Amino acid sequence: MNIILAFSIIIGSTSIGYFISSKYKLIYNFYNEILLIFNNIRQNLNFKQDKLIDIFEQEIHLIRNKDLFNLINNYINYLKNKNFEYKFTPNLTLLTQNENNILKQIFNSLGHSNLIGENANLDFINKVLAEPYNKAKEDYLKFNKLYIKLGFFAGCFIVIILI
Amino acid sequence: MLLSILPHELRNLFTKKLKLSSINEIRLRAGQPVICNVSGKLYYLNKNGLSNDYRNSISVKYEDIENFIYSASDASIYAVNHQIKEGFLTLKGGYRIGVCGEVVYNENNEILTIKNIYSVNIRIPHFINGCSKTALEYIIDNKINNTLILSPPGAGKTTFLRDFIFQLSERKYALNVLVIDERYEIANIKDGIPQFDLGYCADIMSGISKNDGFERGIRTMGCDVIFVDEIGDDKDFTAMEYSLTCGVSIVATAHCESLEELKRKPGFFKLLQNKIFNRFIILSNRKGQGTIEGIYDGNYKLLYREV
Repeated sequence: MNIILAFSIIIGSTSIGYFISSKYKLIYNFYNEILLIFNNIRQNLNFKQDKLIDIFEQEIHLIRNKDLFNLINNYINYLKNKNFEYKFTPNLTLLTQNENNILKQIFNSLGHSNLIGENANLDFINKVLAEPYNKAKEDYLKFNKLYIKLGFFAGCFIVIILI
Repeated sequence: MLLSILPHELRNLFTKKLKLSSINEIRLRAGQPVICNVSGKLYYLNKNGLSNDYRNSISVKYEDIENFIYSASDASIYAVNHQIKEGFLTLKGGYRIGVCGEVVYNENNEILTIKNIYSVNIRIPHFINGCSKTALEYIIDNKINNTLILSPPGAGKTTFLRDFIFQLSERKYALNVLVIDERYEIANIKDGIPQFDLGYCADIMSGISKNDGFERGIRTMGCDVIFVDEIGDDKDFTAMEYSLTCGVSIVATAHCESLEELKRKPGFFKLLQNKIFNRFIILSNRKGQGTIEGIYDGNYKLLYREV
């Protein structure tokens, strides 16, 4: 009975560690996928020259990250509503306010130029997103295992105290 | 489509007080009153509808026009820049927007785009079934005569041409008709779908230069008649002469008020001298758009005039 209780405590606290670390995984996946989307947009622009709404409607089916899916879905609805006097404003709880502001600027900068301008803009977007992507990757590698380990050791610590 | 992208105030007005179909043109200029063209007459717009009084008239801001163009492009200027470079944009429903702003050239002196668009002219298209029927009997004898349709801007040339195409490609004649729609004005193809019914024997080449259109069309489509809008370039004339050697008839339009004016136009001189066209149709606004001022044969003899 005591062994089962000890295992439960260790598994429970490890799960808490995993839950905390999953935030870093989600952020990393978010930036990873958004960079892929912008890469696909560039390919489409330079070949098929589909409109933004069509490109994003094609891309949304490939998205696995829930937050990114919601973001792109909201952007598609924004494009469909055509109320361009109001700016598109992402509000992802996963990201900081600063990161949301960057996404706001990125999405509102799309589609205003010719092909040369759009390519230059996509280059710039890639550079802008590379920084949070690298940070998210670094955080993910650093904190993902750390929180799981911390959870595990915390569980062990509690078990030892209880014994 | 047009209503959903107009500035708010205009959208409300056109939803509640005015019918778009009764209007020929809407002109938006940054900081200036909105002007509507109804059958050749100009009106201001105020909260109650059309008015002759400019006071209390509705005006639009530069930002409204900027948003309007962005909306018209479906938030994808790059996808329609080839049209903007030519000074226009097309919308679903056959609407055509003429744009005016600052032209940007690249180092090779080619137009890159038009920026800071501060005025637009929205042309509301009309399809009047049968408006060309009167002219048909003068144009068709054993074959389709090469015909030049002349009129000043806004007198219904394109509407006339559109119906002409429809009549020839429908059941009675069922001719293979090739439409060279360089400026998307005749068929107004949007996302692969013609916005006007041009009959079931009409093949449409959109966005192609007349020169390329004639060559490719004759070679690949095996057509009986080629329809082309707004000729006036030396290249157009050369391409037309080529098509005549292939036994294909041509129906074209040009901006011009009378035969005398046409004769004075540079470029047309050779065309008239070689008697390429043997029918001329002159349209005006005298009794409303599309009034037939005269149908002439190749020797400029009057065959018909609408009284």
